[in-house]
Amino acid sequence: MAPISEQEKALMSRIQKGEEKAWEDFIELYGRLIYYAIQRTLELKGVRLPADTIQEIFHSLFVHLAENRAKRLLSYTGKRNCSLATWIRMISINYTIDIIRRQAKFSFQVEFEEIREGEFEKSWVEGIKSPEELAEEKEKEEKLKRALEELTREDKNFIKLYLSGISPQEMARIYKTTISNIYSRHALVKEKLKKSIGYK
Amino acid sequence: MDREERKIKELMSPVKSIAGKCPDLSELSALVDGTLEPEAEEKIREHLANCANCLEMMRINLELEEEVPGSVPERLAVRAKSLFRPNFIRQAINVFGGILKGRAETLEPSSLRPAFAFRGAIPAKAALGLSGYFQEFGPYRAEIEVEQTSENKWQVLVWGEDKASKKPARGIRVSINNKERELESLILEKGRAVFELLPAGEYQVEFWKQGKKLAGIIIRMKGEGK
Repeated sequence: MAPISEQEKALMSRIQKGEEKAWEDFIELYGRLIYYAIQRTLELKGVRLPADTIQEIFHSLFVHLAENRAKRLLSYTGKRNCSLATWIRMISINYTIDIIRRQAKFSFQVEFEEIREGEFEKSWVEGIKSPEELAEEKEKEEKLKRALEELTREDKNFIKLYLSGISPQEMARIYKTTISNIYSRHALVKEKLKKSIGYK
Repeated sequence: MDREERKIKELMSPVKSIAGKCPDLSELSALVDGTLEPEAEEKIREHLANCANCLEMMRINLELEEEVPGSVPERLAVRAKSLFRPNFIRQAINVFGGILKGRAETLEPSSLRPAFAFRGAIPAKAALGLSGYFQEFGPYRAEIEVEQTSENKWQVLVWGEDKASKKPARGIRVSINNKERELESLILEKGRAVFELLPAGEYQVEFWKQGKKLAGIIIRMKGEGK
């Protein structure tokens, strides 16, 4: 996406001057994006809310952006050349997640990981292991730990992100590269680990 | 994720929340837009590898970028447009009536509680927070919902239905294991099974039919009372 455009700069400047019409234009331009970001964030977080509550969140986010002469909205400066649309989407996502957290009595995090047919060797309940098997497993674990420590900082970040459940498409965006490059780098890091451990 | 990768994930320090050290939203947005300098990019990636909150925001933003937003209800847009007038706080108070207490900064949605708006009533005494996941296997579709019911007690609700007929799945057994053993095993009754009073931790839910395992899901529940 293109960084801050002249049109966006002009709009922010009009909002700064307190032009009422500028605020209306802002809502025309970004209202849909904000409303959608709130709806989808709730969906992706697995939170189901009645439509009127979602509308309350939408309105309260606009209050948040508009209060103190639009202080929060005007904190957008195009820093690091991020676009206004992406920044607003980020603010909307952050605001929605924050509301979910504040409203929940307990802070919680749940992760899901699917196991499909043909992958059942992952199953935990596989019978009791012999002491020899357990010792061998422990030794492998130690080797792997050392191998992980030997990775470069960049490789560590990469493998950690890769295994965080993020999709290869998202990885490609974060690394500004292609999906096939992500797969190649993943294979490369795994190869490094195998070499350090002493596997062929 | 293969077995080795699962082990690697286990051994690496978990992605968690690092309060107070998060980059500002412009920097995260710039990574989405691809406008960061290479050095700054790696710094943000390192942060994402260690901060579940920022990673989540980033993932949602990337996902939404690909989608086309729908429309906003007209009356909402009209309400929002009134906010930039000098007396907007007073107007907002009038609109919100009893919802607003005090200043606009303290405004929060009044009834923000996860709502079970489907499949009829569910005994959710304390619908404090929940997470859901859909899984499809063979002709079935399962929905797994995890709900924290008290400080360190969780409930896992499982629904199974036939994808084609949308009727409750029949003859499906669902088991829940921790790393040591099978904790409980239930036959779906009217398409539903509930596992209660589970402490935070890692569990494996498995779906069985006629002694054959059809699918499974690993659930990691982490949480504390505020």
